Amino acid sequence: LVYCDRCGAKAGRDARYCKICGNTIVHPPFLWRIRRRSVERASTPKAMEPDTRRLTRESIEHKSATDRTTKPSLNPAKTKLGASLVQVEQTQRKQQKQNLDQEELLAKTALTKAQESYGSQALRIRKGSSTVICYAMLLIGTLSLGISIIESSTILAFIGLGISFWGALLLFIRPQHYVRTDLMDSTALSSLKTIDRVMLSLGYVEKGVYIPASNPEKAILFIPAEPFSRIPKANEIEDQTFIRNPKGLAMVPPGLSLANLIEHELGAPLKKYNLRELGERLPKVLIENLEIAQDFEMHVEGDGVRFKFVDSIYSFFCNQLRSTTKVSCSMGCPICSAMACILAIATDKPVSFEEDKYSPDGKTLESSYRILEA
Amino acid sequence: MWPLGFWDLSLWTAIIAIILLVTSELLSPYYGRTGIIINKKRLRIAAMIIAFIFLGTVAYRVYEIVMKT
Repeated sequence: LVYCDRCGAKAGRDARYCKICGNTIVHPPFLWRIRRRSVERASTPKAMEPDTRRLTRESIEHKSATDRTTKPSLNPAKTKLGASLVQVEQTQRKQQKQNLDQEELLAKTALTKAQESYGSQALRIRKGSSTVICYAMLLIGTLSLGISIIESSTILAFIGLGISFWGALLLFIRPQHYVRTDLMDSTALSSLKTIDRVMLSLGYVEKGVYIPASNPEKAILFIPAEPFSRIPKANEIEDQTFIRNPKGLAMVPPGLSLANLIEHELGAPLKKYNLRELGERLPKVLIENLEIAQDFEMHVEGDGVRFKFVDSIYSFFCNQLRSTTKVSCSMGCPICSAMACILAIATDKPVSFEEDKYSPDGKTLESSYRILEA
Repeated sequence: MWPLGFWDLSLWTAIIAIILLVTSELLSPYYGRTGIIINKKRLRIAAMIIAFIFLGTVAYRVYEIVMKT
């Protein structure tokens, strides 16, 4: 039920005007109702542990919200007609509208937060329940197999075999680690933003060069302070961060760990592969094993190498990185950096990152590199 | 007494192998992301093992026929 703002009379859910005074009935928005439901659910004893931030938000909302489900007190002055009354009503309506906007905003934020927390809780419950189901299937299957041996029943044996097999299989194929991509993105983005800020403030804005090294890190990223004529050797710069001759910054590439992971999936050291073999082996690793992209292509044109990723899991992250930082221009996003590391290690030559391009729909990423002479 | 014979188990492995191989193929990333969170590599391994067990039973049957004749 809703109540009229002017006279306080009850009105039906579908009523547009008050039957007593003819005033327009303003119904609470849909999001407000959802928010109210979620607040009611949170206040039950089964709800999550009390959170001070949540309580503060609720109290703020209670202060600003207009509760239309409780009957307002009757004000005899409001029932009188007159020009002044109309003006008062108009200002009141404006205030109500503003309140409603605030309510909607608050409800929207609260709803998103609630959905996220419920989602993570549901995932945990689902994971736990799947294990219970697997063990239950194994138990039932084993029991059925035992009874089938006692009773010499073929049907029970098939049932038992099937159930126990699927129970064991479901236990075997359960994922060990599951990380949401948005969580991964938000973890990596801030550190890359920090690197970007440091680089910009120190004046390192040129394109980076990936230099193969003999140390366990295998590749070093060198970012020159000005367009350089000489590429430093890895053993000259591997122990330093700020290089004087040529002036630049040496650092661990952001995609080096990913390159190491790809190397591990390839099953052999990257140095053993040439570019043609890499072009044959990389799609399987990136699409099937690591599931980084839905499609992958590698094109070699002279000194230039071009990679094409379709629907990569990094596409959103790289787009975000491109829009907020200049890191992606100088050394590339993590996946582009990993590819540069792979090229540098496999060819044993310095590799410069040229550019990365996105298709208008943001699904296809093309990154270009140039293999330099040492 | 165990009620299932060798050929019963052969038939069972054949059916399970077909189911697992088809599932593994359908969950392959080449068909697009399905959103099913399972270890697809392990599923493929299990499917291959069951399929090879079935092929082993078939080979045994062929061997039996050849030896009889």
